[in-house]
This record gives sequence, structure tokens and C-alpha cells, in this order.
Amino acid sequence: MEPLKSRPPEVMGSGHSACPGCGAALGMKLVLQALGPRAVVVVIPSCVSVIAGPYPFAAARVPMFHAAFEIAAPAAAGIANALKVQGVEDVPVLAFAGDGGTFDIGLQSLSGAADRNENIIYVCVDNEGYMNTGVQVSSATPRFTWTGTTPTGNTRRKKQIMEIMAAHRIPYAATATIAFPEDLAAKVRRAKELKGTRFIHLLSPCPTGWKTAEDASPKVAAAAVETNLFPLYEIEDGLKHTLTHRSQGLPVERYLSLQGRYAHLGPGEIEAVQAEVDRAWAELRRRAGEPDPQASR
Amino acid sequence: MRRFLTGNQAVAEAVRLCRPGVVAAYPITPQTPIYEKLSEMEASGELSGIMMRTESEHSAMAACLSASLTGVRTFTATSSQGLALMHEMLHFASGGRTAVVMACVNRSLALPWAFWSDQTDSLSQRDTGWLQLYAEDNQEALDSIIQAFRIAEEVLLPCMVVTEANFISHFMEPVEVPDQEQVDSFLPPVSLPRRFDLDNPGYVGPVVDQVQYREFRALSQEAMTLSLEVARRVDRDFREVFGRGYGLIEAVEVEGAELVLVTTATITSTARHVLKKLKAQGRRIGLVKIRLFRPFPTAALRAVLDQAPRIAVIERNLSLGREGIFCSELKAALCHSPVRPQIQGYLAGIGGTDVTPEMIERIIGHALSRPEAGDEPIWIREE
Amino acid sequence: MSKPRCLDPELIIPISRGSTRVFKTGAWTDRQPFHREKLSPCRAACPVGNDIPRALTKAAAGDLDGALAVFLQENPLPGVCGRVCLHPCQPECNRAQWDGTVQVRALERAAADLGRALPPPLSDSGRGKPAAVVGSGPAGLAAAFHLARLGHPVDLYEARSSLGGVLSSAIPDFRLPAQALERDLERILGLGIKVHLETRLDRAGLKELLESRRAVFLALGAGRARVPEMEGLGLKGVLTGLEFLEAAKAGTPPPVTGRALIIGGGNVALDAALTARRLGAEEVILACLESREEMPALEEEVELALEEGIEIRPRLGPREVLGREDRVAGVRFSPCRSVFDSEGLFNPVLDQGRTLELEAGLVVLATGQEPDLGDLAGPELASTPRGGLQVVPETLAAGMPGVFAGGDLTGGPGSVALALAAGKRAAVSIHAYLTGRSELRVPDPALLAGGPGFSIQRLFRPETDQDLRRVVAFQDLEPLFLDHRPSRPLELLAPAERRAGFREAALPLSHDRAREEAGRCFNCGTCTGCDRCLLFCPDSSVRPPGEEGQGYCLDPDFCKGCGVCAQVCIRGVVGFGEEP
Repeated sequence: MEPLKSRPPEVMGSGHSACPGCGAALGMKLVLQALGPRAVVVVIPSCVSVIAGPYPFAAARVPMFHAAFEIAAPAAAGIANALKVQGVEDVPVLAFAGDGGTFDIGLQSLSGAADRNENIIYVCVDNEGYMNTGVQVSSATPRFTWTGTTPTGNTRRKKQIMEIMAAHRIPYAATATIAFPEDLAAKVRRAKELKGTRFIHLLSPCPTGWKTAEDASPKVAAAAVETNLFPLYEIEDGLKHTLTHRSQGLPVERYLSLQGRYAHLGPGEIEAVQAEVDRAWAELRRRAGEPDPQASR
Repeated sequence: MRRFLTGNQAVAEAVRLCRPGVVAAYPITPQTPIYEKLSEMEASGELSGIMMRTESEHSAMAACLSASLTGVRTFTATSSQGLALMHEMLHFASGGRTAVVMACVNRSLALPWAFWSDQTDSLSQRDTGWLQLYAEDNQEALDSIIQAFRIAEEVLLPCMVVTEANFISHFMEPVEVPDQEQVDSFLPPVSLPRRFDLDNPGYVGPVVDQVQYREFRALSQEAMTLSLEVARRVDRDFREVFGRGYGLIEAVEVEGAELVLVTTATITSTARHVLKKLKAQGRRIGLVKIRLFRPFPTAALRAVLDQAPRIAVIERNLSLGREGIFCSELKAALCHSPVRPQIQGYLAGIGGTDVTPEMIERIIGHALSRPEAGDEPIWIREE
Repeated sequence: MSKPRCLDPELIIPISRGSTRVFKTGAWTDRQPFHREKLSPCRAACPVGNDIPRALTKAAAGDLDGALAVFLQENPLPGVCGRVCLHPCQPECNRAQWDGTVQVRALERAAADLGRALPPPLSDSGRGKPAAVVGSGPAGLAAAFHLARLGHPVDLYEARSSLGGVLSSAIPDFRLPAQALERDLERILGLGIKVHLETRLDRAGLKELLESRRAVFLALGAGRARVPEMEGLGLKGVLTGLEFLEAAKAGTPPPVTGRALIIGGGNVALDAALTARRLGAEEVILACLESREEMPALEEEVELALEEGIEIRPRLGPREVLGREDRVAGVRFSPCRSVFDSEGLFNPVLDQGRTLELEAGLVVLATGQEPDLGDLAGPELASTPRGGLQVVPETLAAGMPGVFAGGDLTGGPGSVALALAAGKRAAVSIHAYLTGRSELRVPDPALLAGGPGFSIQRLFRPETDQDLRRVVAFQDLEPLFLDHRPSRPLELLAPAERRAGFREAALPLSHDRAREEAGRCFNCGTCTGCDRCLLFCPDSSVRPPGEEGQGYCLDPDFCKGCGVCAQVCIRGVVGFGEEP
């Protein structure tokens, strides 16, 4: 018989109200597991704060604070500074915010915190829309996407939040997704070791809002990475880019075809998406100092 | 030590003496000298704790309330637009039973744009569950800050100390700045509940149902009621230690007066001057200064005003569509008085205009000339 | 003095301290996935029934001892198979449809060479019930091995002076060095089998054995060459394939100069060609009836032979061996138009009108083998039309009670793996016969994908309830979760070095390379304890393997039936569907 593997106790447990197959719940679980119970976690109105539990129950065994929608960053910063004043230096403060609370209503306060290099880890749980309130468009929703408030397809592009955060020259920013849990955990652990503002952009598919099967979230997230639509990388001090995954470079159709929210896309739109992905991927590779795959031709 | 300070400087000194843990602020005229003075103190090492130079007032209050929940002493200052921007967070800080202390410098709210004293900004936050103390002069501003920390930390409700733009914020007066040992003896080290306890982790602020919400609100209301007594006691203690006290209200020559003026803040000083003059002329005019506005000192006011035949409320604010807010609140407080005092509201100083002794005399004359008060406020302008 | 309620920190703001586990979200669904191991296509294709995914799980963790132990559960000759097996597993490997098959054979060799393990015992119910095995080729060795594991005292009879059959007598050193076979034999003999060398069996001997041993397994192999009838077979310098290889291996090869002509298209012919090259032939031509594509020899071996300068002349049928005086001078061929007839029977059609002559100083006819029953054949031991001993396929029982037979003796085409499989089946059948446990006569509960391969370990020491009927196909895996790691090519000696002598041509995998290559195995159907199901469950509803030996299971109180665990299980172990 195999010797029993030692597994650290789970930080996030069962019985919460996430939809079956919820990517955000999985992301939350993975982040909290890597963070460990010696931490303080800020959540804001979003699926995450509801998943965290109704009074008097909690899904996670870590001190948590349900702050207001647009204040994930300054709330976490206030706590971090208060802990420092109390002489507590080894307890990380982590904020979860959705894409709405990060790209839209919370962008200003996040920018302020990043500018001050507040000592917080900020995880944006990005399901590309306001999903807690139904399915409404946010500035994280990609072009052409169906949402309840863009029923014929979103005309705006997804904001480049990583570029925005990099522009603040924070010590650490990284993309991650639920399909690559070891990569995500490594990034959370890396963030824990650093000081200052650390930002993780966590792509978390939503079966309800993205119109996929309940079991599809990890597969969809993997497709996002393997099509270079959501590359996995890190940016240190706003300038040094490092890719953390060698992708398969699949056509974007492999990703789009998995989701009902893209069912209405025609070939022209798919081409447009592919062209943008190709451009952004080439640019990212250039920044990461990767050799140009075209160069040898 | 006696020093010649502006109201803003006096506030800054008080904050320093109270040993804050986290100060978070954003500049806005006429608050900026408080912010700058505190920054100087931080740079020189005189100010304890951490200063956060946030990118908006909303974030400043967010940071303060979170730091307060963590268990440290917190302070911020703002005015007008900044206070309005904080509105959401004010509710949050109160509902969260934090002990944030804030200095609010009254300034007109835009639009239109203007930078002088008007109390509508702080008064329009009266429903947010904050304690509110209105200061008459620079000394009271300083002293009220110190009292505010003690009250807030005892009742676990946030407290704002309200001063006026220009008249207090930027005018210099002789002020007694207490020494550190005195303040330390009056205001013990912070011992707020530490809400983020690793040994007993909990989820602070989850969604509650209707009945639970109601009961939390009922507890906050009880705490508000309790804070009347706490504020009174703290003021008494303050008098014992520092030799100065202010009460929740101050009644001046109200007994047997034919008319009682009700004022707050700097208008009170002018009114005192007018009353002295009229007393010398044999007139019996009384004065009540409201200092603590939230929780509203109903019992204290009824005790001195239940029998007053006429009351003239002179104020520097307006709730559009109704009247001055102090007037409305006073009318509500006295609606069960056995003698129905005739309460007339007077709007003087709106927008930061001067309220002169002459205007106050005119008000007195006007109030006494009519047998009955009117429902609508009277605008008092320069002649 | 106690605090009033409105100032009690615990009462004045909501703080959740309970657990959401009060909400039994398992009630949201009536359909929950379950965890059950299944069969891998490689194991389904392996006649020996090696539990390849489990062995490679160990090897991937650097545990070659553990990997060897898993191989020894089914296979007594991992070192041999790791060199000579035709690896039917590799084309079936699901990874072959992704970025290249896993090098299973090379890994079996690495486990055998670098690992240390003892054959695990199966039972002691065979104690005091002796059996005899005649013939020590792979079939006989397997039968002896498994019978000994089942507790039987075993006597192993071998006509030659060493064990192993063709493994020791004929397969060239450059393919199967003597030490490799020795290592495997040592392990087998360590089970206490009694060996009787230089003992040939005849009918009388068989009757005697049956009296004392009650059960006998005949594994005499196919020792007689099958050659086409033609002139010149008696000339000097003309040998059959086995004759040539045996002579070379014994160190007494015939003289080899000039051109060597090997006739035949199978692995024996190829080995003969390569041997001739090493013995000094300046030129080696391999001529066969088949086309290049039809040649039965392993394609990869043909490629290596071509690298060494062996010339292949396909589609040639030998007509006559030509001589000069009493020595061979060459062979006359006619083109072969087809090898098999419309019924798939061997029936070559030559274009008689055209001929081609090839000169040669050595002619080796490697055109097949057949069993040589000697005087054993008779009414009780019938033979098949092709000359093998007739047996009941499921039990390997021959006509006489107590006599069982398998391997090349019962008909070909054979292979080491098929012989090992026969020996194992015979061992079970004999065990059932001797212990009276008729339910074990056929190993149906342990059949792999319906058979004929089966797991003897599962039959006697089942540890899991693995579903051996369901094979995990490539379509059952989600390609988005698979990494791209093509195999690095296996290393060989350079062609010039290979030709220079009889050193083993295939270089071994190092520990690191073995680990790396084993890590490419998808472990189809086998739970490796990777924890993915547990890790990816948004509801933390997958319970890890417990102390009582139970595997992963889903918590019915909380599992919402989303199926993410089934989706992310890259081995096809967790799934919805049939009743567990």
C-alpha cells in the first residue's frame, strides 16, 4: 500500500453556494490553499463574497473581510498597514476582487494602492463580466462576447489590465488560471515572498455566464492558454516579462467553440480575434525576449 | 503650552498627541493644512503610525475603517466634495462599528463652486451613523479631537469633529496645546477589538437576512443612545484633566428669556457678543449652543427649551426643499413640549457669508416682532 | 461589570464563525461521478498482461525497484522482453496518437537491468502438489515461474545444457546478451525450481512423469526448420536459420566470406543477416518472398539492418540452391507475385518464367520453424494441421489427462510474449487441476479486455476493483490537458560499431532518461494519486485515499455533480456512467 501522502489541511471547504463547476470558486480555493491560513483576506461584492458564506457560516478558515465593491485594494492596504503598526510582519493580506471590481469601479483605488506600492497581494478573479448580478458586460469582457447587456456582441475590447498594472512598476504581476494549478500556486507563493503591491490576474471561467457545460471550466481555461489568448507570464518591476508556460499555439477557434457566448461568431469575427491574439502574443514574446519563431524562415 | 495656531494646526496637534496608528487622507481646500502639517510631523518623526496618502477620500475612509477593524487608532480629515465622496464609506464605517475619528472642515458643496464655510456638507451626512461634534473655536476643535478618540473607542462608533472653513480652519487664535503626558493620562493606548484574528478566524461582514439586519441596526441605535452618556462623561473627565469642558450643549441665560437663540459653531461666538450687549440694555435674550449633533441631545435640549416661548435658530446650512437642518431637528425634538415654543428658522451665512452682530440683532428683532413663527425659513442677507 | 450588548464586539457586527458544511450541497444533484480504474490499451495488447501503467508510475517516480516488482507480477523475463519483445503495446499506446508512443520495451529493460526486486508470491495452496515443466524456453520458464509462485514444487526439464531455449541458444548477443538472460533466470530459479538439464523427454518419459507428478506442461518449442523443397539443400555452406544462429552463439560459426545470402523475411532472417555481417561477410543480401511492407520482421529492426549495409531484395522466391562441387555457390530465384492467397493462407505464387541468380558463399534459410514432436505424437496427443500439438485454447489441456502444452509447440506464429502468456495460462490451469479448484480453470475474472491476456496477480491477489473490461481510448483523454513531450530517440551503437562485433546494439536508458520517458506515460486507466480530481474540485468534495486503503471517493454530502473531476482526470479513472 502506498504511504499516505501528507496534504496540508484545506483552507476552503464544502457546502458553499457556488454554481456547480464554478471557476471562481476553484480559483478561490487554489489561491487560499497556496496562501495558507495565516493571512487576512479581503473580499468584495462579487460571486466570491457570496461563496464565502452567509451569516453565520463561512466557507474558508481564514480571517476574511467583506469590504465594499470598489475598495478591495485600499481596504487590504489599511489592514496591512494596521498589522504593521501592531508589529505583525509575517501575515500577508490578500484581496480578491472580480473583474468588475478591478477593471471598472475599483480601478482608481487599485491604481492608487499600486502607486503607493501598498504591501498587499491583489487577485483579480476574472470571469469577464458582472456575473454575480446576472451576466452584464464589464471592461474585462472581450470583443464580440454575448452578455445580458451586449446581446448582439460586445463592441469594446478587453482592457489590458496587466499592462496597466505594469505601468505602475509594481514589483510583481502575473497571469494565472485555474487550469494550471501548480503554476497558480507557485505564483501565489512567489507573491508571498515579496513585499509591495503584487497583482495576479486569474482567469476563472464561469459556466453560467460563458454558457459552457458545468464540467468545462478547466478545459476552457486550458484552451485560453493554449491558444495564446491568455498567456501565462510574469512581469517584475513593470518591465521584465517572463513566460511561465510553453503553449501549444492552437487556433483560437479551439477556445471560442467551447462557449455558447461565442456561438454567434462568424468567420470574419473569428479571424479578427485570431489576428489580435497573434499580434498580442508576438508583442508579449518580444517583451519576454523570446526568439522570433518566424525569424528562421 | 500656549500657542498661536489656526484651527487646522490645532487639529493637527491634537491628532499627534493622540498617537494614531494609521492616518489616511487626501487634500482638499480648506483641509489641506491639516494634511500637510501631519505630513511634516510624519517626516520629522513626531507623528506615530503610518500615513497613507491616498488617491481619493473614498479610499482614505476605506483604508481607515479597515485599519480600525484591524484594531488600530485611525484618523482622516476632509471637507465638502471629499466628504460627499466618502458618503458610502461613512455608512460602512458606522455599520462596521469602527472607531475612526475624522475632522471635517465645513465648506460649500458644488455646484456652484465655492470654498467658504457652509455646514450643509457635514449635516447631509447626519444619517450615516457617525457622531458629530460642532466646534465653536480653535481650542474647542483641538479638545474635541482628543475627546472624540476616547468616545469613539468606547462606544465603537465613528466620530467627526466639525469646524468651519476659514473662520476656524485658517484663523489664528491663542490655543492651549496640552502636553503628551496629560493626553496619555486621558486617552489610554488603543484597545479596539482585533477583527482579523488568526487564532479564531471569522468572516467579517457576510450577507445577513432582513431580521438580522434589523437587529444589528437596533444595536447601533442603542450604542448611539449610550454615547450621549459617554460623551457627557468624557467631557467631564476632560474638564478634570485639562480644566476645560464644553458639555453636549451649552445654555446661556435661558431662564426667563423672552427669546432664545439656538446656534452652532462660530455663529455662537458672534451671538454671545450680541447677547452681552443686549443684556447691558436690559434685554432678556438667551442662547443655546448645540455642540453634539449626533446623537441628537433631545433630553438636554428639552430640559432648557421646553418652556421657551420663542426660539430663533440661526444656521449656516439648508436642506433644499425644507429648511435649515438644526431647525428641523430642534422642532422635532420639541414637538412634545407642553408649551409650544414658536420656533423660527433663520438662514444666515449660507455659502460662507458673514454673520455679523447687526444681522443677529436684526434676527432678534424680527423674531420678537411676530406673534407666531412661520413654517418656512427666513433668509438673512446683508442690508 | 459586563458590557452592554450594544458594545459587545462579538454581537455588534456579523462575523461568521460557523462552517458552510451545514449546507449539504450534495442534494443539488442525483448524479455524481465515481472513481474506478480501467484498462490501458497497452496492457490490453500485451499478451503477458504486464500492468504497464502501474509499472511506469513507479518508474516515473524514480522507483525502478517498484517498477520491476510490478513487471514480475506477470512476467518472469522482463530483461529478455525488454530487448526482444515485438512490443505490441507500443502501437496501441494512446500517446502514439499524441506525440509518439512511450518506449515501453526500453523501460521494461531499464527496470530489469537497474531495478532490484523479487517475484511476489501468489499463494501457498500449491504446496505439496508437484508439477513438471518440460522445455525451458519462455513458455516453460513462465509456467515454472507462476507455478512456483502458487506454491507448487516444480521440476523443470531441459534437453540442452543450459536454460532458456532459443533465448540462450540462438538469439544473438547483440540483441540479447547472456548476462541479461542470466539476471532473469536467477530470479526465476530463486523460487526454488528444480532444474534437470540435458534431459530429453520421450513418450516413455512422459508416462513416468505423469505418474509421479500428475501434471506436466509441455513447452518443447518449434525446433525444426521449415524449408521449401528444392535442390541443393545438402550443399556445404547451406544452413537453416536456427542452425546458423545457434552455431554463431555457441562460438562455432561456419566460415563466412564474400557474400552471405539470407532467405526469409522475419526476425530470424534479419538476425541471421546481421550475424553474417558481424562474422565477416563482405556483403549481405536478405531475400524474401514478401514486399518490404509485408515483411514480418519489425520495421525498426529492418531500418537498423539497412543502416549496417544489409541489402534487402524483396519479392524473391528461392527455386534452387546452386553449388560448385559440394559447396554452395548461390541461389536461383524467381520473382514472387504474391505470398498469401485469397483466404489468407501462405501460398506463394512465383513467376516461374523469370529467374535471377545470386552468388553467395553462405546461404541461410530462415523460412520458419515448426514443432518437432518426436515420438510424443499419437492418438492421445493429436497434432494440428500445421504440425503443432492440439490443446483446448482456454485451458491448454492436451489430449492426455494431466498433460498441458503451450508456446510454439502448439502452433505459431509465435513470439516470446505469446509463449510467456501460454506458460502463465498453463500454470493457472494446472493449479486448478491439481488443487481441484475448477473455478480457476479459466482465468475469466482476470481477463484483460476480454482476453486472451489476463492478470495472474489480479486472479490471486486482487488489490483494487479495477474494471479490466473497459479500455481507456485516446478519445477519452482531453488533449487540452496533455503536454507536448516527444520522446528522445533511443540510443544505439553507431552502425560501424555495431557491425564490428556482437556487443549489445541497443544502449541502455540511464536512471534519468528512464524516469523522463516513464513520465511520458499517461497511465491510462490507472490512478497514480496525482490528486487532480481533488485539486480541481470547486467544492472540496473529493476525499483522498484513506487509511483503510480505500481510493479517492466523492463526498455524497457535498458533491454537486458538476463533473469537473471526471473532466480533469487525464487517465480516464474518474467518470460518470455505469454503475461502479
